Amino acid sequence: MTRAVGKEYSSRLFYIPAVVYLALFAFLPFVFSIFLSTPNADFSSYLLLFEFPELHTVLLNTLIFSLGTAGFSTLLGLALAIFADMISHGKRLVTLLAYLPYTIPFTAGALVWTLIYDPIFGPANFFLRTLHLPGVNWLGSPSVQVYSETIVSIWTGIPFAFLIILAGLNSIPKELKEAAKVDQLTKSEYYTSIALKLAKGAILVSFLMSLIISFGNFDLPYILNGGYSYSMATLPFLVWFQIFYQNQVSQGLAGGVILAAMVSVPAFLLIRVLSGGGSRKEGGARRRRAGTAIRIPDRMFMLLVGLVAAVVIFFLLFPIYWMFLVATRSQFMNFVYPPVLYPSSLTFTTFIQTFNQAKPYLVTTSVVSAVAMGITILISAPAAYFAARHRARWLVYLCVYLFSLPSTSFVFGVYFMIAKLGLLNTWLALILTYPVFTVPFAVWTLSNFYSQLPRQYEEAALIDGHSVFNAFFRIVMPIARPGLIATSLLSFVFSWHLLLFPLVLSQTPYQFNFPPTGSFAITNFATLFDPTSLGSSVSSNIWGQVGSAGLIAALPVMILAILAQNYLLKGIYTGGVKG
Amino acid sequence: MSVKVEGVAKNFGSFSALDGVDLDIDRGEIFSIVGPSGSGKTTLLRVIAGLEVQDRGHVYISGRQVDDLDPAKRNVGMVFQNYALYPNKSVYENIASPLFAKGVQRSEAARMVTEIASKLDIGEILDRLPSEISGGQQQRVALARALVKKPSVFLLDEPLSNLDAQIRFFARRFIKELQREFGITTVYVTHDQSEALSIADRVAVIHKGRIQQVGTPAEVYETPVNDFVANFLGSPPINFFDAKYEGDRFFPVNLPFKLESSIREELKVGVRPESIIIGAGENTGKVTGVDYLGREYILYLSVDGSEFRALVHKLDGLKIGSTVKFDIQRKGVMVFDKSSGQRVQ
Repeated sequence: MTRAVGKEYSSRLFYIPAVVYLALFAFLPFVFSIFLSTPNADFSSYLLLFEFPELHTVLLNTLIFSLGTAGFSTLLGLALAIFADMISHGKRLVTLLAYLPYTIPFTAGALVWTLIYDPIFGPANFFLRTLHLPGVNWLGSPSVQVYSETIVSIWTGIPFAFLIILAGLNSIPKELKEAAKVDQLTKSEYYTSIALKLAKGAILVSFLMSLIISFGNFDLPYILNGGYSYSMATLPFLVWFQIFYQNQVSQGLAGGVILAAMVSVPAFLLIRVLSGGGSRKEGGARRRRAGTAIRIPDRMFMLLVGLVAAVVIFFLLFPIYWMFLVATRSQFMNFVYPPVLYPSSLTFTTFIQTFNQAKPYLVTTSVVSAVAMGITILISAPAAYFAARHRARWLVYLCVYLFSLPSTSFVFGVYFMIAKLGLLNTWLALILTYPVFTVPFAVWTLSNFYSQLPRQYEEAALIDGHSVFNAFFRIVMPIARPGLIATSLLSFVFSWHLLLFPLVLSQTPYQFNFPPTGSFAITNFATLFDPTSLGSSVSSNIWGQVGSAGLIAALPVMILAILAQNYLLKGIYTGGVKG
Repeated sequence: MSVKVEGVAKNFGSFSALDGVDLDIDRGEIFSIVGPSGSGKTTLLRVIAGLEVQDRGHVYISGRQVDDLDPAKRNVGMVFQNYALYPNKSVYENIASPLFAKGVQRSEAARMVTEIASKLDIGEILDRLPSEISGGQQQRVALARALVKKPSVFLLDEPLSNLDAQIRFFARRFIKELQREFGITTVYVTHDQSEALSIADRVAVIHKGRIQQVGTPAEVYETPVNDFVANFLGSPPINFFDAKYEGDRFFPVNLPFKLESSIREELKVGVRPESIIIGAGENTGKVTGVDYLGREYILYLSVDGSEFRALVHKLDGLKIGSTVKFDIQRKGVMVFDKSSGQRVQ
């Protein structure tokens, strides 16, 4: 008996740091936010919010934005995944190209899109006119604004959907594909009648995760909405706007609670899918629906999928190309019609100027992301190991839920806590709070890695005479190193992307002093270059600055992602997610 | 250095993996635990190792109760089914791992590793990674890692199942000789009855979490206590048929002995294939199939609608459809009570 107790005690030490951390920095602020949303112990703030005339616009926007993103990202990601699964050569290249936008922070991506959407000189309208369609005032006209931001969101969402679904298609046993060939099924029949059904889980996960991320997406609508107009606001923006801009704290918090409630629906569905719920019924359903196969000659099917894939890849890569282009060319190339789409009169002047301005932001973000990564791994790895070995699904589900919870729903509680601690505008504030995003993700992903690791290794270590702790730190951790590296890198990338926390917790850029004061992140830097607020002074290269700011925010993580492609893809395939 | 298991029970949820297991393993013997998959044999080994904690009962190693001890403190050596060699560590580091865990000095550890490696003929591959050596070598590395710390008990979990058939034969012999040389108490778990019978000093047959019988290989093969043990041991499997005993005679097939038991009806008779002598005798059967085994043949006979397997060395023109006479030897025939399965004679 004493041994069982002792064992329990030592294994609890594995997950207590992560759970205590999440309780303090995610759960407590969330509860605090719920509490403060009802300041008079009644629901008056909710009633006020409901009377708010723009609320229904914002809610409708949120639904259009989220469902549009989830639906189209998954659909286009699926088409691209089928293409990549079908081709025998170049799969790696397609994967690399398709996942590039995933590495770019929402802030940087949104900046570039504001240039693409320029009603007069932007390439978006140029493409429309080439197709003999009328141009659109993408970000200016209230009736299209929400669709414009949804398109950007789809652009950011396709890579993840593609990767998850491709992983699903890859996991189908090769024998089934060969059997389909022997049975003389066409490719279209294989994909519609066999592959899609077996990859259903991956498609569902992709859709739900995409929905969760877009429900909580603050960064994208915030940057695109340069004029802070309600007509293109989604709920996270409204929450931030009410609390930190309008000073309607309890109303804003009420919005945050409603947002959390909305996200809980796909979050619970995701947990259900991950726990394998409902999958038992599938067998019967599959047999009944065996008639849905679509039979198209292979050539035509491949042409069709190839065409869609080409359009999607162009859609994914053009903004990145455009970002590089405007960042590195003379301003005189920008304001001309038709837009110059090829590299011409290149110059690095603006980029270097902008880079020099960005230095303090880059230093802050690099240090904070690296330290947050260390903390994340240190507390997540043991917790993930515990979850995997003791089949503590509750811990994984808790992390999936916390991961799903929009940061706007608890950011005020975090702000309040950091303010009380006197840590506003310090690196420490960011270092302490960033793991709120990375720990849930890391525990989730690493627990998948650890549960794939044969148990015999640590049992052999115990038999060898190692203690439970040594068995983990000296035997298991080194064996699982690839998973650890993948998770660390993704954690770094996510921290690099974060905008809301530094927006709320920081006030000035780093002063190159010690102890460091000023903690604006590189994403804050990018927000300074919102073209609508920059105005249109003729003398400076506005587009060049915007493009450079985006590029500077994106380039480090892009390079990292390209260099560590194999590790990162492994991490994403194992249940990775975008913060 | 003996192992004693006393009234051990272990449940996984509602599944009873071990149900009141008692074992007394003598010092220095190879003791084999054999049973079909899911019988609880690996769970029993893991309880002895301390990798599972039993719900009830006690485990003693060298006379000391170890129920409260972690695996690390039981001083057991174990070879896992897939060897569980650390893939990121060299062969040398794998073998030295138990020594480092104990805090043995580097130079002393190096001496001990070299010594055991040369004994197991793996001295040449110490700086390789497990993925760079053959399956047979991996097994020897696993044996070396388990033995290097001079454990009180040596636990082997299906150690041959990952080897090719040819290597398996020599590895079995190697383990047996190694065990003799070290004189170490060894518990050997396998699902392969012929492996258990050939390697062990004594065998425990386990089924549904209960020990069915313990004895020397000859004892359990020749005098099984019940129909399960009789059926599980031996290849091709024993022939069973329902029988009655009337007027000093067995029906439907006559057997060359008298029944001493008081039970006369509801009998289940087992006949080892090698006990059926083809060519003469008062029983007849029809050949329904022939399997060639290399050294001998399995002959399938249909006798009054039930099928019998017999072993013959020569076919002598026998083919499917032939009718043959056969006799049954006393040795290798057992009579069981049909309802309880217990052997009555």
